Amino acid sequence: MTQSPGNQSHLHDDDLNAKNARVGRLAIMVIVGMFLFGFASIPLYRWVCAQSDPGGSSWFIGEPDVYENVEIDDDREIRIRFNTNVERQLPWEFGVDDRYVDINPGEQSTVTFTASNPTSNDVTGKAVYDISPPEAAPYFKKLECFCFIEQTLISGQELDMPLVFWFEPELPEHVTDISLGYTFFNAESSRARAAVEVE
Amino acid sequence: MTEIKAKGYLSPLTEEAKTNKWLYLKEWLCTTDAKRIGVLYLAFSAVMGLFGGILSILIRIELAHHGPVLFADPSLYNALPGFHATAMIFFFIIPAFTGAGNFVVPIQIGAPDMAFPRLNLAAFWILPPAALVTFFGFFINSLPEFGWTGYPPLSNNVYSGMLGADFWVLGLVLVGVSSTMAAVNFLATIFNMRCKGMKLFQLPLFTWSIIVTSFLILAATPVLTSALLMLTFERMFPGVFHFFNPAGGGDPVLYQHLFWFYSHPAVYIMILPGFGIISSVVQTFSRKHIFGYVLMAWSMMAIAVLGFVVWAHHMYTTGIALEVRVGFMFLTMLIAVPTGIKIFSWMATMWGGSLKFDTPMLFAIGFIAMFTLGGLSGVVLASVSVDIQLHDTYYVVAHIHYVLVAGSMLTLFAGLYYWYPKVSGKMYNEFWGRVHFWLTAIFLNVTFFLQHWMGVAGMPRRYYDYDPQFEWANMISSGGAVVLFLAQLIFVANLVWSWKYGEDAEDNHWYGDGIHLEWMVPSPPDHHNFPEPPEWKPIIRQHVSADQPGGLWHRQQ
Repeated sequence: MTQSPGNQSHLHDDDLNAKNARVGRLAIMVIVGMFLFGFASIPLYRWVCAQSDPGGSSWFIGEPDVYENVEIDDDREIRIRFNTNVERQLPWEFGVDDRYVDINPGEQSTVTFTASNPTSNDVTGKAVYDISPPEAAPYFKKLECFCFIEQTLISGQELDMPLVFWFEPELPEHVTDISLGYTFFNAESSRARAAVEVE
Repeated sequence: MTEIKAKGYLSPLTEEAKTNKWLYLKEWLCTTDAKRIGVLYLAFSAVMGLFGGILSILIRIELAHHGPVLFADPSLYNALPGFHATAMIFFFIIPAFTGAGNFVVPIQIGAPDMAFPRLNLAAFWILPPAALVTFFGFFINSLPEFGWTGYPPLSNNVYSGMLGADFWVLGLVLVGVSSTMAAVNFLATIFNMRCKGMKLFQLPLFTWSIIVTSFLILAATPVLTSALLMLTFERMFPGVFHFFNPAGGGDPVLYQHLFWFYSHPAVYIMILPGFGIISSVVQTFSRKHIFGYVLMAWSMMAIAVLGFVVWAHHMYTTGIALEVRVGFMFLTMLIAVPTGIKIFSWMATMWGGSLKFDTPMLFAIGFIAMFTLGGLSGVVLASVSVDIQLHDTYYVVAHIHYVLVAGSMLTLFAGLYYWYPKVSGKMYNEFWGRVHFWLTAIFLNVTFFLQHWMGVAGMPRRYYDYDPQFEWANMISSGGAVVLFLAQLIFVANLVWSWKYGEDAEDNHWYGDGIHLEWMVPSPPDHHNFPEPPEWKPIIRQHVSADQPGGLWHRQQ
């Protein structure tokens, strides 16, 4: 502490120290609170997304839908494009037979995806899909999808994986083009987490 | 050994230190005097500013021509924009304003020192090691290439496995700790240690800006710290933590939310103290009280509050819902209102004033003109549909440099020239100060103005190379950047030279027009600022025209 002849008495005032300590405590509470808020934002964000996302998070949807009494809307045709990606941690090749299909809303369609494992190890992957525009997501129904479960490919195996799906006829009129992107991730590292989440 | 002759707080505290340079140096490095700590902050930020400037010159040389120029290896170039931004934001602008605040705020409120002097010293001494840690990648040749934003998945351990990235993250956490410590200190000081008569709405606007900035730091920085810790956990323990990894149910967009929840308020952390400086400078050199004082204070608070609810305007292209984007767009545009209040109030302060065009005032006027340009391009970018086109192009680069270089940096220069006589007790060389201003003002526009066009024409930011059609504009921009950088050396040389050889400054140096407490004490101030606790005689900041009583300060007597 610097001292000088002209040093002031109120520098070491007990009252002042108490007041300073109070402001300091309040400030530390704000800091700790905001720090915790940062971590609290993880469940908060998940909750907000679950409430507001049309169709919910694709990670947690693993149930086939039921194709019953679905009316086919012959008046319009929509084009569904497919896009395939593999995350770098997964040493697979992943493709789709058709780049796109033209279907009527309500009409069932089957598209075959192909994954192959060129490595000498058995590897397990999990596919996650993304749909654009997002407002089409609630109308996207699947009878069968390789994204429902984890897929294990033994060394050198090539696997054809069908996607059986339809779009409900209630799909908004202005949606004429839909892109479905499937990304395969390495499931080994994420299994523990997923078990907790899906429950 | 010659005796150290210095006045005020610069004088050695003990008899031994008067003749021993090392003791005197030790006294400085271990000081708890806010003024000396302020000078340390400013010196440190000057070094880091030059470092960041050198990085920017390397970037601009590489971009001067299409194709490889300086670096055969693009990955070295990729690291530079991120490090340039980190150096400038976290180690130049923010510490420089903290330093100015440390020197000026205790004096302006009539206090002998800061509330927690030791905390103050600790906050400063975290910075140099933090800088070493942040830029450690340079020493071990392991440079992160994900820019200053560090978005996963690019910044996770798969795509950026280098050790330098871990050091960078750790360094930023340390900087955050340092700046929150300084913020706590400022708040306690300003709330508890004001002298008699210094009501909150009597505070100088610079002190007001430090209050608002400190609240921003307090509330925003811990969120960045938590985001960076999550990133570190995910990098260190892949397969255990999946905060941002979609393979484990995480979401990379969450990182962007957290990052911008800090980094948008951070742009106000970097500009609000500048607003405060300009308010001081403009009123002194116009010889009029600041126009709309109360509204000026409230508009800073409005900017701070709005600053917390606009972060997603950085994320228009992440696929968040259109309704959300439109909401953020309107909130963002709303910020133009309090900012406009400030711009017009400065102009109204000058209106009818008795203007003096010394270097600080030149910088202040230059700031008002060019910051307005930066603000306008900000309104353009706020629009969702326009931003989809301009996102991650040079238009954004132009915008950020108009608000940070033409904004924060010019205000910093205005403040440094304005308070230099007070800090050093000497007067800088006015001629070279003006040369510095004109070179800076002209070449700033040479460097950054064309980048608006490049962005609209589609040149992406952060890339190693570009389409040949942009070559002429990049050449001009690079030339401007080199001159702009060299002009700053004039500034450094001027201040260093004047510290020793300058003429002695008067106590109330600027024509006797300084009205705040810092101009009522000697230049340089004494160790504890005031021989006895001062009393502030409240001033009435009324708006009357120049020919009425009280209109100009010199007619008040």
